Amino acid sequence: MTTSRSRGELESDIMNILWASETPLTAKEVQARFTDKVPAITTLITVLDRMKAKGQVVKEATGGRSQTFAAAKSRIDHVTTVMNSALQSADDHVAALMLFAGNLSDEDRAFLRQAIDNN
Amino acid sequence: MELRTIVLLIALYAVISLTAPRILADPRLVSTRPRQVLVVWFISLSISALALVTALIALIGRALAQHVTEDNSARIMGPILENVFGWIAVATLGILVFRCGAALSELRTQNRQLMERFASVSALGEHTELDGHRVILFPSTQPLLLAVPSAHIIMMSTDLAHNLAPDLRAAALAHEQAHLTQRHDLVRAAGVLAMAIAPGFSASSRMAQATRIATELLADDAAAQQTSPTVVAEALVAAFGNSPLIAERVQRLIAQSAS
Repeated sequence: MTTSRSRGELESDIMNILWASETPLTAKEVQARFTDKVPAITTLITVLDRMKAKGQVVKEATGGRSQTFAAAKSRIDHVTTVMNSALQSADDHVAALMLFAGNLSDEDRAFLRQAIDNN
Repeated sequence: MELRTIVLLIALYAVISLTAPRILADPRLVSTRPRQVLVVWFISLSISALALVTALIALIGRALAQHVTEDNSARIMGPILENVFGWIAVATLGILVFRCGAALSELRTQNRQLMERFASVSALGEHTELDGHRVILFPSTQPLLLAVPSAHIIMMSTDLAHNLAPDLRAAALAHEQAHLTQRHDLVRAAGVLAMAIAPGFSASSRMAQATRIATELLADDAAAQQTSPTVVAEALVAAFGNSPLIAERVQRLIAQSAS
């Protein structure tokens, strides 16, 4: 059993499994749908609980001891949320991201406007 | 090292630090010659940093020499001053190393956190090749295109990929590829470091700003070379409409195509 995968990758794989399923799944059912690098059930439960706390999945009690998990948002809504959160967390003045729309602040654009006006 | 040489090195550092940003962070120069501005700035930064560090180490060396050289002369003030300057040099060097280390560590932490966030989007997206560039297409209704230098990837939203005409899409991707190939992340990081080391020094923040702008314009120019300035301008307008974020860049590209 191999679990060498980053936390972000594991969460993405779990989301892909939940989106592919038409019904909510238990942690064991999620584990059974991994084709490679199958994570341990304890790891899966921990990650699913963490994803529930982040609002990525919803947990439902089915009676007895088992609980099922389903994706809280559609695929496109989820990616939009994650992307917006990543973009907001990136400081524009740091070199971490290069947006086609540009990383220029109001002051930077005023600087550039000066150059255009002087030409 | 002679005291006169040390004074000259510190003077060299001060002159370059004060004059280079004033000359290079000129809006017209940055707009017309962004590459040259960056090259000259990096040469100036290297020379001034080398001059300062050499001078500080020399001052420490002179102070240490006082303790190992037997001096039977009646000089009192000279050795005292050498020691005071030595301690000041040690403190200055320590502050510089600390500030540089702290800024580097902050940059690395932010990069790592960002990588973790983008790893999940990357895993949800479709890895493909568009116009000769390796791209991760992610589902989104927003017009997003960005390069993540730490992961060396370009990410494009499906909305933008489907709505841009092929020639405009190629220009947009060439812009992002230029950021990755020309390592603009390192160039901007140098600007951020210079600002972090001397935060109250207005010249360093002006230069960091010029660095940010120059890298954006260099990517526009690289894309314009592969297509044309008009196509890059059209790609920006097609992607972001009349957004004020791109107004100056579009105007500059149109001026380039007219000249």
